[in-house]
Amino acid sequence: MKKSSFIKIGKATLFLLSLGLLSLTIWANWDETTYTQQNTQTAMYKTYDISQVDPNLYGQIEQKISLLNGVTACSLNSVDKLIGVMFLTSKISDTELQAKLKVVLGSTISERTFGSKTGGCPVTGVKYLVLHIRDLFRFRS
Amino acid sequence: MKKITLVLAATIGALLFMTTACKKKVETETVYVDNTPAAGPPSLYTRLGGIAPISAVVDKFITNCASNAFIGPRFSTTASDPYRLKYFRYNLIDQICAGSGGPCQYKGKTMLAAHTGMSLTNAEFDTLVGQLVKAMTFYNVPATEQNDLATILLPMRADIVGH
Repeated sequence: MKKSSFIKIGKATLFLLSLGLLSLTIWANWDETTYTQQNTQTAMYKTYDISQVDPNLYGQIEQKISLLNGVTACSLNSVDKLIGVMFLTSKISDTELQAKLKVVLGSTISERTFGSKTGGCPVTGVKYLVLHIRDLFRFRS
Repeated sequence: MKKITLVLAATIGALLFMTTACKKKVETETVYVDNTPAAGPPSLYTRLGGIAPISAVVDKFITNCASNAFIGPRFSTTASDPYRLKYFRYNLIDQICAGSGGPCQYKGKTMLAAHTGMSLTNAEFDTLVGQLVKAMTFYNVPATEQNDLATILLPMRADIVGH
């Protein structure tokens, strides 16, 4: 094959790749940011084991933890001795939250998970992948 | 080749301009107007206090559900993954906001499509509703507003349970 053919193929490949990338960028930025996305911050959820915590404190746990800076919600499950906490990642990190929880609860805590149930996730694998790709190429805020 | 590249670059440039500059203009012009007649009662969205209180109730509802031993396993995959949680949370807020007459638009799947294959039971749905009531009570949402929201959400049972 001649050198000029290689150059032509290279140019065509580069052209197609650029076209693909630009198409992805246009697709990812086509939709407007929704009202909810504009007005809510990204949050994270964690479940913690509180079996070491004094049960006399259970009555105040939800209120006390909900008042921590960055925490948007806290739920206590006194039967299974655990708490679920949602927090804003822009305001508090996972490590900082654990440190603050230790102070509030006066005891060590550890992360805990429930086993997942089949068919338990409404955000399916394909949708998950599409959203990931879209967000990767999205620059509109 | 050079001509094609130039034409393509111009087309892409124009498209990018349309998707960013033009739409941003529309965004700035979009102002929420409560569609309730001026003389009539305020919408449920207004009575609930807008997007921030709805978001707070939704967050409390998710933590209630995810920490519940009975229905928690249904939520664990979504709740433990920040990315899945992000879109699940947006969808819940959008659904309540749009259903109560707010400026949001629900863009998620239909309830039937979202829950097909999950084989949810009536007991699980009732527990879920109980967690929502608990969340609203925690934030002192008045009984009238709780009932109005239930009127919007409860008919979804048929599409959620048993599929």
